Amino acid sequence: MSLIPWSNLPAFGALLPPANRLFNEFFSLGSVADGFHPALDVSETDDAVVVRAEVPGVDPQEIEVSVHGDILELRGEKKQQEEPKETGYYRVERSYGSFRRSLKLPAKVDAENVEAKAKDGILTLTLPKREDAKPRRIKVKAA
Amino acid sequence: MVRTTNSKSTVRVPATDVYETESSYLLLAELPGVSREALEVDVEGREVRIFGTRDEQFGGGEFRRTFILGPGLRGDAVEGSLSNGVLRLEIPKAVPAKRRVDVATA
Repeated sequence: MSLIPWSNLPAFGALLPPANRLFNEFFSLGSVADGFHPALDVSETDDAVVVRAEVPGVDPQEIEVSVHGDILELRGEKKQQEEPKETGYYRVERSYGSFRRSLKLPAKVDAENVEAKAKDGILTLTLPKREDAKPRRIKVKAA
Repeated sequence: MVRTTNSKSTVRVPATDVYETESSYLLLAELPGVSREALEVDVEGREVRIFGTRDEQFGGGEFRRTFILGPGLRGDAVEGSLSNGVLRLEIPKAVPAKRRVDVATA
């Protein structure tokens, strides 16, 4: 099953010129102007769909994950934690704000048994596939 | 994250916020997928260097960024912590030595 083309996903770097995107993709440097959008990686095994979201500086407790049918949605807010009172900013490259990203999953999943783990600013979701979405091996009989 | 075929050989630059407070400068660098063990921070002369490699399970890749400390910042007293994929470095300002001058009357 193929993944969804990036161009179909909402508001991810679409405003940036291509060269800028290449430079910025790794740590999402480019999305300063249009708020925070977590970068997502989606992979698939025989048993599960694995989605990884880059959410540096976001409290994992404050990320809402929901599955409606084959649509996964992530919502949350990336807050600026430091509030410099008397002096100020020298450089603000990181992006902040509330985010909402949804994507179509490449297989039907068991929404009751989604596992979510956060480590080092990356949220890893393991969405087990429903039985009828798992690949079935067919034995070939010799004639 | 979309990766290009040559991404492994590209050194990435972490997005960093820099704030000044009354007593220090704060650097907040985004390093999602970088564990404490994979991160190096060193200070040499006036340079603070952040570098390392992202965990292979998150796609790997080298990152590096260097900041030059201005005069009046104490490179010998930099403190760092890593939390939720964000490195926070605090660089204290040097406190100018204060000396009371006795003014003699004639």
